[in-house]
Amino acid sequence: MELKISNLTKTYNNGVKALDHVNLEIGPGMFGLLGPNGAGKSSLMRTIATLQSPDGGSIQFGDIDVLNDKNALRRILGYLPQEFGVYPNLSAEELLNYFADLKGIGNKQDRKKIVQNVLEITNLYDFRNKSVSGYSGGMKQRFGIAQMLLNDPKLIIVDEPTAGLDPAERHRFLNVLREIGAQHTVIFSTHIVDDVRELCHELAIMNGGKVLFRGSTQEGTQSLAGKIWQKKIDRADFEKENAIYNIISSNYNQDNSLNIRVYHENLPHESFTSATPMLEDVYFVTLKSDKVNV
Amino acid sequence: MFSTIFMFEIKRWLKQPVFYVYCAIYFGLAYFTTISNLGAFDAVTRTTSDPVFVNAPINIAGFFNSFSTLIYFLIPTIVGASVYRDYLYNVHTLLFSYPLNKLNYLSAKFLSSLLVVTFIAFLCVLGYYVAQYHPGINVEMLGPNNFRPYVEGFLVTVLPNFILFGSIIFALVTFSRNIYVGFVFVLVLFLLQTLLDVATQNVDNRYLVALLDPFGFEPILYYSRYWSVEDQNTNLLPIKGVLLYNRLIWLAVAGLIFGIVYYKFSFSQLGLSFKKSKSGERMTKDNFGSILRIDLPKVQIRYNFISNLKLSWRLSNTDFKFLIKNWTFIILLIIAFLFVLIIISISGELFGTSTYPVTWQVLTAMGSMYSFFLNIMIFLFAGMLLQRSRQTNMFLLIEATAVPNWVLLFSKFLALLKLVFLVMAVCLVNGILYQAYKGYFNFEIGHYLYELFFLNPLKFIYLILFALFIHSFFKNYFVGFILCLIIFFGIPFLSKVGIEQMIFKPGSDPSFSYSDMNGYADIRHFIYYRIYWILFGIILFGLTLLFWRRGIISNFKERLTDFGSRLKPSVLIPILLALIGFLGLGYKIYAENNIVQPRYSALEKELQQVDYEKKYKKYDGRAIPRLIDVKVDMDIDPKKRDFLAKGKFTYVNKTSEAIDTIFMNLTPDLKIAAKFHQPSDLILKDSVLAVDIYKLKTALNPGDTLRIDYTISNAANGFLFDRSEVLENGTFMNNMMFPVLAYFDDGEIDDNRVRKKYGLADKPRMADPRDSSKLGNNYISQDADWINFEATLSTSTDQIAIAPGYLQKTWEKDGKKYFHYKMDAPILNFYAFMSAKYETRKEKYKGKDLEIYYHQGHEYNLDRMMASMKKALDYYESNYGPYQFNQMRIIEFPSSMGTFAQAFANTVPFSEGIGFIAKVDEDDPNAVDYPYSVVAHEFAHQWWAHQVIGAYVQGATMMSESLSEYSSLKVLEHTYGKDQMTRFLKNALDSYLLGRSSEQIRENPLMFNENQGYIHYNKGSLVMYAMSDFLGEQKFNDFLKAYASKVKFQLPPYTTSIEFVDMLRPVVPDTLQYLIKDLFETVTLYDNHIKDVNVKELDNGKFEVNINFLTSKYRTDALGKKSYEDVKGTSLAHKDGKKTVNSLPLNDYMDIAIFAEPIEKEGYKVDNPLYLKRIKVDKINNQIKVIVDKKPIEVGIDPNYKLLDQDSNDNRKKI
Repeated sequence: MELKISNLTKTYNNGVKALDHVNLEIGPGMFGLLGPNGAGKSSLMRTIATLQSPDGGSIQFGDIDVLNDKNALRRILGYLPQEFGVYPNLSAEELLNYFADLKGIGNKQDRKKIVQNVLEITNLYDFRNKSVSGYSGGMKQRFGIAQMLLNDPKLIIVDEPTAGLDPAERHRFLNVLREIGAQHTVIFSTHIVDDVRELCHELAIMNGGKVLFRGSTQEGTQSLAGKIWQKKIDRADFEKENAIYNIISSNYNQDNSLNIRVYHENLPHESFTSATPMLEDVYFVTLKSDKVNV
Repeated sequence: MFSTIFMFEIKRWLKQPVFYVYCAIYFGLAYFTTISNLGAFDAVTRTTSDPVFVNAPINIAGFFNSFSTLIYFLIPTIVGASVYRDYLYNVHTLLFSYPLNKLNYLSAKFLSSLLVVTFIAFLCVLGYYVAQYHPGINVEMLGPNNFRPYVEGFLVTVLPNFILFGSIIFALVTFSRNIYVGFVFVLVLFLLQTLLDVATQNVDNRYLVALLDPFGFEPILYYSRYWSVEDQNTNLLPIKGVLLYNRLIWLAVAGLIFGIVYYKFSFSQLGLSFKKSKSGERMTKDNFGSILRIDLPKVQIRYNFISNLKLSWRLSNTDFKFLIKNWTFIILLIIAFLFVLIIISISGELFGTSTYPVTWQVLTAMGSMYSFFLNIMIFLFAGMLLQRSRQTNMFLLIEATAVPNWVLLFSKFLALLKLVFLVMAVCLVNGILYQAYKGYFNFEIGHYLYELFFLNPLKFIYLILFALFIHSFFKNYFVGFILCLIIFFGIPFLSKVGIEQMIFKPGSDPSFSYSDMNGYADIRHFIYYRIYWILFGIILFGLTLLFWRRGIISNFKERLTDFGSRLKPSVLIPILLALIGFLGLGYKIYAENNIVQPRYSALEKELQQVDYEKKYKKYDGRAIPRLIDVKVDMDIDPKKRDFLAKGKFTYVNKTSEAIDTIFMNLTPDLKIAAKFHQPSDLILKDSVLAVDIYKLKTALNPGDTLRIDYTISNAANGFLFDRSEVLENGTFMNNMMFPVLAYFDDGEIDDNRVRKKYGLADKPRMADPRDSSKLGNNYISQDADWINFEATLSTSTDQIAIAPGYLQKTWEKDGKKYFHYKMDAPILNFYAFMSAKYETRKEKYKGKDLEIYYHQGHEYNLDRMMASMKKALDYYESNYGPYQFNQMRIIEFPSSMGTFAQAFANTVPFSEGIGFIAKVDEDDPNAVDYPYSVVAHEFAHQWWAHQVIGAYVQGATMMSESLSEYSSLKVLEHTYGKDQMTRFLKNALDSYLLGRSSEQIRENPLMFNENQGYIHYNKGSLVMYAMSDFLGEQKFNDFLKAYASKVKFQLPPYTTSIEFVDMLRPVVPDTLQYLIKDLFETVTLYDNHIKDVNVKELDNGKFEVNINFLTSKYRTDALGKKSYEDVKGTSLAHKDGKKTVNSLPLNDYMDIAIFAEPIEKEGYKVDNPLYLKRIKVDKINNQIKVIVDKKPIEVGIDPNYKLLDQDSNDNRKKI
């Protein structure tokens, strides 16, 4: 099933335009939503997840008119917000049972079966009797996935799930997502380019409430082929170079010299060498040029 | 640093919208209450009137006290949370890394929040003050305004309490990091206040209570409790003695607590927790690199109506568990449990004698307590449940599932309903435990279940729906909570603005009461109202759903959009159905109350009184025919609860003029038909004021007889309630149903302040006894003297019907049982009809039949009652003259009709609540046997009322109530000994003093009392007892006998208190003549107290006791203004330190006593006088020296409270 977002707009009371005529079409598989903090990713995710009303626009998922039949979408939705808490002093098993209930699994045996299953998937089975409010960040995120899976969702929305996870947790998390993504539509927002690179073949880049780029990783990097240049400079020369060239990223070497990457139609200067475009370049170039590039 | 934090906090509050909400609410409440007290709404309701100025200093303090009580609810959030807030928002990790000074930090936090609370209190004061300039108020209710009482009131009752409770709550919340702990403390405060109110009614040592009361109002009452109206209007607050000590003690406590907070507080601290820390466990992860195949089992997902209902139930279990595991709930429940135990053990008492803990009584006492707690819990927990998912930040997870809104809301409702049932179950257990503890094993489980699990939940269902509705609009559930409380407690006050009908006051119902005799009677009245409000609650439920917050709502417009998009048939149809039901039932109730029978508002009733007087006063005092003979056929139908009375009344023109106009006063709301046996025309029918006027075709000449037959039945019982007074078991009706052929000046407005408003001339409540034209009626009847009486009653076959007279015959016919009663001698025009399933106890004593008709199971006190009748009969016959009947009957009636007993000729209806279930502690010599005393009192009325009856003028009740009360005291004294009297007399004195302080019109001397209870019962019994004590019992009783034999069964003009006093005067020796003036003719009080006492042990082993006591006597006018000069203008004065004590000239006798260690009688202490002597006192300051044999421990002036002393608590002094 395909998710179709048209002309979605939202302006907050304080005047911030969180969504500015967003149009997106997302098919099955893993879809990455990349953007800096405050780009409007969470607003978009919450709106798709029926938790926030837009000022205008429409969302269609398969034959569900999401904004007018919210419960129809919720039935097949799995949502993991950026931040969440849980009722204190309840164990993972109790809480999952509670969520299974909320998700309409009326049969007690069914609930037991599925709760056990998701506990195993998320490797929380050994901790099922511990209170979730006392979980570490990674375990809590796993719990988040567990509750998400209970209704076997067709549309999965995960909002910046990897922030604050240790590498092992992050890996495991991405693996699980990948497993699910094989069968369903998964929208995955993050500000970490690597997440998207590893996981998604399709992505969108958002900033200031607008979608700036929509395509696959390949399309992105291909469009930059021959336009990314790099050079090693001294720290002291950075300001001078920055004034001349369109530097899209720079990082330190151990000897306090800098590697800079520059976006330019052709060789900007003979001191530069050509570089293979990476997703990161796409991201920075898109943000930097900040114009609609769909 | 201090000022930085202080100013920051203040500014923060000024930016909070909630601060302005509080300000507006509290200012508005204060303003509104005050203008309402000042009669601003007199245009829509009954005229407000009070002789004590609204702004009298004592009222100012009282107002401050009650309003600061309301503000206590804000203390946990404002003062309590001031430090806690820094933790809540995690500011502390940042804040405490700065170089803060602990003292600065804490004091700035505390003082700034205290200032905020104080400011709100100040707004209340402002509201109170500004309201006095509101247009349209009755300025006569305002005295001169003075700055001082406001300042003093604020400094005494407001500020110290805020500091004290503020510091306690500050400490509690800071250390527990839980606002609810502070909140529970506020509730405990309320209970403490209630407890103090109850406790002080019985406590002998009021000084101690005054000293320890944390609110600081008891010490004010300690001084002002007995202030007369004049005192209340003029006295400033008693800023002295125990009030000062009290305030200092509690301020010191506050300081101490703040000190503890200072020492214990540490910036890095964690909140205190009650939980044990669990033993640690090392946890390692094992989640590296595995790849899992996700293959979810197929489960059925269902969201149909049935499965949703089941889901609501399961979800409510989670919420319910959360509620009952909550500390707030557990603490509240424990407090409720303890509190109920305390209250119930006090409230089961009357005169120090408890009743058997019958189920209805336990339920009444306990049910209201648990209900109070439940109301609070519902208001609080409704908010907690609604906001819980947001507070724990789990709401996005929940709200992204497909669970419908109604399921979520309904599950909260169910959880709260389960809470109600749980608390009711605790209530049941508590009740049964209490009964068992008291040795009462007649557990009526069915009765418990019906009230606790059916009737009470009907109330709470609505309250839950109401609370959920209010809370759904506020994110901050303290605002929701306070709003719930204010609406809930404010609704009864709607009557003050003229909204009187219950259907317009959300949540109101006619309540219910239970009696062992008649069960819940017409409980349907209650149930219909509850159904009506539940329907309203369902509408609220619908509205709550329409406005339900789901997801992230950033402004109100979005909420409205949501509201609009939810207007779908699935929601609208149920709301519409509930609305139709609500309006339909509401209309039915409205029609029943207003259309089937007209309803008059309080204002309309007042206007009717005015109308009645203006229209018909001209008939007052006209010649009327007088009733001489009554024959009634009374058909009572207990099953249908209807009656049909047919009365054949015979009147005679006893005057010397012809009568052609008959003025007939009817009882409204009854169907009455009058048939004259001679031609007559109805010339006026006033159905509003219930007056008919007939013109006789031929005038009734002197000596002529007029016969009228009345047919009376009750207005039909409606679907909503019974209009008839007939009960299924325990009917008790009196002759008020029959018309009276005279103008009724009882119906006039008494209060001269109100009379003035309507242009009516001032008048006394009763006529002056010196006006001989007013002596034509006795105070029982306006149109009869002594009548012949005969009645035939019919009732269902399982009941006994009773009326005054002797039973002539009884028979059964057509499924009814008939009883024919006839009196052999004329009686007052005062009779009753009773019918119930009675058991009987009959005895013959000295030729008289003594009978008790009682409800099966109420056998507890039959022996006592019987013994009292015998003893009373003996005493009264030998002291006052023969008993006019040969039978005396005590007849029980249901407590739902009231708790009193009333004396008719040979017939005494006696409430089940006043003596039948009394439990007299046989072992305690100080316990008062009140079934015994009430029986003696009512029996005495057979002499003092049914033989000697005063004219309908001032002082009439002295010859009935005062003498009956005296008689009962004497019977008790002769049965139980003099020791019992002290307690009775002190009780009577205290009740008298309390009564006069709340007198609404004027305090009259005993012999001119205007049917004022505190005068004719309490002062009257003291006066008569004192006369008997001073003259000697025999001499006084001989006088009573002489007086009785002179005036008994007399025809008009009837006797008056003047005749009584005139006959008494020659009996009193010259030295005691002052008593007549002091006790009967004027309002005279003493202020006697022991100032000093010291004891020396003498060489011969005896003890020399030196007593210094002060005596002062004064007279007061009708409002309590004191005067110390006699008619000649002489007065005594004495310098006592800085104070000058004044007194009327003295030549008075009083008792002085010295007591040794009390004697132990079977574990109880009884006075043990070493010395008791009546001495003559002629000056204010008195010294006496007495030598006694044993070691004295206490001395007393007038130790047994025989004199009218303005303060009974300083008559005795321990050495």
